[in-house]
Amino acid sequence: MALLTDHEKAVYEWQIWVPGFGEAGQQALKDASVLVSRVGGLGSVVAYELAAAGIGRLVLAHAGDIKPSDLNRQLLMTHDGLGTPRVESAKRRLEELNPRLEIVAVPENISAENAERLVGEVDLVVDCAPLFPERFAMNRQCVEQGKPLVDCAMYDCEFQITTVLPGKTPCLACLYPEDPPAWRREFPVFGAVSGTVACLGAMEAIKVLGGFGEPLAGSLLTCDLRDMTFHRRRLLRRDDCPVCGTSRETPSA
Amino acid sequence: MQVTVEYAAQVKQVAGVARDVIELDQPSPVAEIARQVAANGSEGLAGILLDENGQPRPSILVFKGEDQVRWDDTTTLVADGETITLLSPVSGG
Repeated sequence: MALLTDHEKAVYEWQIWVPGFGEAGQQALKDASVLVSRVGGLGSVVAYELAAAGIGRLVLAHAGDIKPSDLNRQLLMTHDGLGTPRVESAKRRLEELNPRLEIVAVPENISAENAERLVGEVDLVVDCAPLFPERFAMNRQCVEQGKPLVDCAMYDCEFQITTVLPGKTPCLACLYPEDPPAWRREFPVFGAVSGTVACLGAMEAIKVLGGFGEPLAGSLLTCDLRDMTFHRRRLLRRDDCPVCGTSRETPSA
Repeated sequence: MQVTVEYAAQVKQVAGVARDVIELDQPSPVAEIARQVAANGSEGLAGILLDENGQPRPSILVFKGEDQVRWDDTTTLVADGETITLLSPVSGG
């Protein structure tokens, strides 16, 4: 563990002043590693805020190249980068913001094949992926490896966010036991909506890693930015959840 | 008696409104209310709420006030003046 340098204490001074966080919290962020999957509308801003806050190591997983339709919300992508890999653009811009960090660019989306390895590299996962099989793969590995998962989601002018603490809260499979049949890969949304929930997701990660505040454990925060209606809803854990349930059937060897 | 049904995310899109007020004969479980909403609403609303057997889809979340209720919970009843919310899962991008 490398202790905070005087320069780092100067960079993070304003957040070190936050009661309950302090230098101990900042040291925890420096020592932490976070997986952000993917770095689109949500993940770009999550990664930007976590980089600014001084998370020591960020693993960014996202396949593909920058498209014109990314640019209304994917704030780590630029017009000049059209046609180039998203994670390379994200890594470059985060290093410009905070060169003290280790940024690992993985040009892959999360899948059942790579989730165990990528989740195994980090202390916490922020789920910003658009497809439920990706989200379920991350959820399963987070539960099996006991890693917190911040789950961010959006649609139109609405967002939903919860934080899964394995063994303590409902997991994603408790909430959604099946791949939602109505969900589509592409959907209406503003960048300001993804940016709003992304900042909340980054703050959840900072609180969990920094050991202060109250994360959305067992709660689903929902919001409609059309009329600024916020709800903090209580979630139920399923004893028969196939991923985290205490009474789930285990596959025979 | 009257119950307010609020819609969120894709459920709201197919409903075309943010909420409805429905009439019930008596306090009712959430699954029964969802079936009534589906019967009174559009084909799209019925399709997102219920499966081909007329059962509430497991991926749709329902809340009474701010508390999640399971679809198979027949003991929690929604009474006059109360609100339920039907919410579809969304994701990132």
